[in-house]
Amino acid sequence: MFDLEKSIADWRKQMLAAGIKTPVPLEELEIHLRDDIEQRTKSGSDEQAAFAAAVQKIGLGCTLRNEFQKIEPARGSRRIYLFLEIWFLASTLMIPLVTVGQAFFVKDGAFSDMTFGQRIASLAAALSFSLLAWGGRCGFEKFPRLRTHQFRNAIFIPVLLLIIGNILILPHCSLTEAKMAVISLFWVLVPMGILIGWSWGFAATARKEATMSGLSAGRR
Amino acid sequence: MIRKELVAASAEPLVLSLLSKGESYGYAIIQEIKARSDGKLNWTDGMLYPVLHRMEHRGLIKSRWGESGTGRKRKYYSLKKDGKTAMVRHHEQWSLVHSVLAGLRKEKYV
Repeated sequence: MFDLEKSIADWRKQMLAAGIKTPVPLEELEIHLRDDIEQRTKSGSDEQAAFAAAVQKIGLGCTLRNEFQKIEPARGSRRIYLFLEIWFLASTLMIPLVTVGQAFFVKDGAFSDMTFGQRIASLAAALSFSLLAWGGRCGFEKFPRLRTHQFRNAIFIPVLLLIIGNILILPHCSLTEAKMAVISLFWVLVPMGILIGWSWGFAATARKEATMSGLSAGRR
Repeated sequence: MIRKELVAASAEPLVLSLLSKGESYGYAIIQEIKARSDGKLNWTDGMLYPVLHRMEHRGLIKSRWGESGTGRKRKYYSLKKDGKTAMVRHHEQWSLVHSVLAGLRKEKYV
């Protein structure tokens, strides 16, 4: 005597042995199997024949496992992208907060001698950083010429020069500690904002394009 | 019977187009495609699920668990914003291929 529930339980075991993971894929496949058996029995097949036809139609466990495994790299790249997004978000929030905190609330070191104007200038440097980072993130897609032209890579040259200039020139200037701190903030935060905005925008656009063309999902 | 390469390539645009009409679940998607193609587009049923999961991971569609009228659990899929954009792109590309093919066919019989 054919026992449908036992046959489905055996089929589940075979799928598990083939490497189909629980709960979601296997549960979904089982629901599909039951729907198909129900439809076939309504059309006049007996349960045993309906079960055999439905199992054949759903495919072999090893073939399905191989297809499901192709999703894993996409899942990994999605996690990396999510981590990057969080990192970018945190840096555009934390760096200005730390700078403003130092300029307005820390009472020792270079920041302690700052005038009110210099504190405002520090705030402006921090805001420039966030604006440049967010501008790069949101504006990157709006300038296709910048993305396709070699000029997009040249953006790193002035940024690099600014950083090198900061290291080489500033120590030789006779400025007060407070003035030095304000200039250093601009000199460091502005290129950093450009770099982070560029990288963030580039990563977001590349991911979107890959999603649209299906390249990120490990498709055949 | 349609070649398996073409069946595989057409799976994503067909699923996206079908889901643009409203949410649906695996078995219903297969039945709908089968009915619309007079049974000529014959998918191996289980192969639809990796396609759906992949599209979900790429952010083209989303899913939710629900219940059918008979109380059976079902996983319903629906289109996301990126899925709509991807569907439009697919339509443009397939229309282009179709128009080139139709043009060549027409020239052959002139």
